[in-house]
Amino acid sequence: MRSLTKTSLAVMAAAILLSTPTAPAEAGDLKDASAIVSRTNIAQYYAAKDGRALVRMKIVDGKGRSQRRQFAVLRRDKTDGGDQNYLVVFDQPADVRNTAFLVKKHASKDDDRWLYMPGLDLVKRIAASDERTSFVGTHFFYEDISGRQPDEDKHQLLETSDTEYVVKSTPKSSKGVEFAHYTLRINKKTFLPSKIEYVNAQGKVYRLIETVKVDTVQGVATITRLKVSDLESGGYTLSDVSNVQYDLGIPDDIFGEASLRNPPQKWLR
Amino acid sequence: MKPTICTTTQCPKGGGSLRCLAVAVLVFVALAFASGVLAQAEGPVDAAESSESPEELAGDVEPSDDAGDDEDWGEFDEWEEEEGDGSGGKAWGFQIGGFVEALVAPRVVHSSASAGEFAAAEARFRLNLDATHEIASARFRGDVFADGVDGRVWFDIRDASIFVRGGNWFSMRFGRQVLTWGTGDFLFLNDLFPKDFNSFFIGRADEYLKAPSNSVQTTFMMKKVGLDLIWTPIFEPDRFINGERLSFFNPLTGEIQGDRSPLSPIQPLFPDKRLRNGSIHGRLYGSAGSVELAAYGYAGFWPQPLALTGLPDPANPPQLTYARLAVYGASLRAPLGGGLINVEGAFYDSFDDRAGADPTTPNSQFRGLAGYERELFPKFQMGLQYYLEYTLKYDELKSNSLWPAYEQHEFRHLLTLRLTQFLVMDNLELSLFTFFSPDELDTYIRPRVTYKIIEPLAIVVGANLMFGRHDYTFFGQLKENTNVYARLRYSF
Repeated sequence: MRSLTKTSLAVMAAAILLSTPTAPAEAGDLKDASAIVSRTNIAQYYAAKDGRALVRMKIVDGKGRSQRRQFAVLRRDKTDGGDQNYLVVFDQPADVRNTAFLVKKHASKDDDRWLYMPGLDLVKRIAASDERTSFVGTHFFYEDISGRQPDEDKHQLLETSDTEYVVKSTPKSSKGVEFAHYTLRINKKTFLPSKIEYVNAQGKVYRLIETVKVDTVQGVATITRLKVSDLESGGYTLSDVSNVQYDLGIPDDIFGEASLRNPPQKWLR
Repeated sequence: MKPTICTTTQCPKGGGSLRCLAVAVLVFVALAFASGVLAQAEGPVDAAESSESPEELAGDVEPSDDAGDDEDWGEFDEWEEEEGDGSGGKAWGFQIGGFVEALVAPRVVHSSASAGEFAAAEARFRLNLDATHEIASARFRGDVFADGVDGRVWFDIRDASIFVRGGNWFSMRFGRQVLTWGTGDFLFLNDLFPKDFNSFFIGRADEYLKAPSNSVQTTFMMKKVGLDLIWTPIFEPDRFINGERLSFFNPLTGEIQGDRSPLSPIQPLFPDKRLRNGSIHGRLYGSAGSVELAAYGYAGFWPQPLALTGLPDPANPPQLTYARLAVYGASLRAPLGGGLINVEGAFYDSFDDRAGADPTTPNSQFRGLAGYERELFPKFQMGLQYYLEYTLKYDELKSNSLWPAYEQHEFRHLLTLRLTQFLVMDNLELSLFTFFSPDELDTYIRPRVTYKIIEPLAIVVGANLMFGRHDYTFFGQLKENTNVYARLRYSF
């Protein structure tokens, strides 16, 4: 439980759940990098109006030791690209089973987050935390899961191929970020990223996020397998998403304290 | 020594919990059976379409060549899916889990009051059972532990309860359960649910600070406002420090009292088991933007035996007992400057002695708390709290007290500091929690290191360090119990 307590967790879910309505064929290539990244943000983190998924992660450290995480996620958007709510209920590892997170993600201010610790029956509110630190002990950062605000970076379109846009994103402020810039390869049809490379001040790629599998769920292209690699330690985390369903009609009021104590089975399963 | 089976609260007549356990197991088996029958009656439930025509789009994305080898991903296919059966909660889901744990906590300071060399030495087995459904669920959390300190085997059922949901606006949980609310961190103002202070000071996991009670909890949800009403028909006091395992200061004798004393363990007089002696807890809560507000109420007894049955009389010694108490309070919690602030207040209305002159009954108090916590550096959290107990009618208390020299100050101040650092991909946690009272000049320091060795196995090493200038202050009286501990847990 400890490792989760600080979690910001806004997290989770998203990345994960995410996807994008398959866009109608574009009349032509987009030229504006910021517009492309905006579309990607929506495609990846704001699919449909609401959604549910089961997420399983395998964490492998540099010495080959592995751990698991498994949790169910509910998401409901208020506005595309804006505020959204998450409920995350952990199933594995065993020592955190039934631990739950509630995240009210805000586009314009710090997220509100709560953690439910079942042993104590304690609903603990969690202070804002660094977005670029390990998410529940995985190689994902909170920001990978909940999304990085597109306006935190300057975006430059490097290349447009038949299938992909390649965008270089440089942070406007180096405060709180460990990268000098990152490169996004974005699928032109789905606007989902296929590969993100993080480059450090020495110009070396040290971190990699790769899309391994994309499925179409209810007409929405959805990343169902992701791999994040820490090239310095050799460790990596695999994320597998299943049981995805969109537009369930999840009511907004289930994103409250009562659902932390007694998760709403109707929507989670 | 022959092991005896006991419940934690009622050792001498310990059959009750065994019966409860048997009942809980029966309930669980019955639910499992019923679910099988129901599932058959309903037929297979169609799994939600989770992936239609993947080929349609999969080709559009270029999966990276090295993104995990097949063996890695193949594992997910074998991974059992305990959640996400696509039933929408209409089929029963079952879970079993728990842990096995060993704890050793040797005392590290000389104690003239306690004979035992260990504050704790125990092996524990925890069983967790859950049966969940859209509209109802059943939960069981039970411990069996062999306690080397008193040579007994204990049964402690922490939860055996049933939850029922009535739409989006009503729910109910009845049975044995652990309950918590309020905004304090290890400080409880409006939370009058039972605590186990023995567990807190001997290195057991934090969850054991909360003791269970047999209660009915009802929750009403109205738009932005929630109302919890909890009724505990038979008053459930704290598992307080009674001299048997941990020593404390007894103002009647003016000495620290441990297991060497013939007076240990303290046996207070409990209120009669009548409905009018139950307790009621209420909370009304809601939020305005990011600000959370709550109001609380309580009617019952002081959770610790702070009252006496009569004035001291050599022929007829008084007994400790529980005075009646009502509590009214409120709390606020909100983000501030990248962290969180919390403010909470509670008025303890000791209504059998509002005049404050009766030395056998505690005086009313106002209790206040202000706290702030934030992340100072990545994965490094700090929490600060200031807590105040203001005793009303203090002059009356002092002039009538049987032990005026040992009474706490009119204003008792307490400061706490929590520091937490996560390292090694969150597998290593360094934690320090400190209580310090500048007016009582006593302190309690809880350093702790938790390391997840390999997935199901975790080791915890820590200490409970109590110091005080005087023997009679809140933490000072516990100084002879100072201990270090190691705990190894295997979760399943």
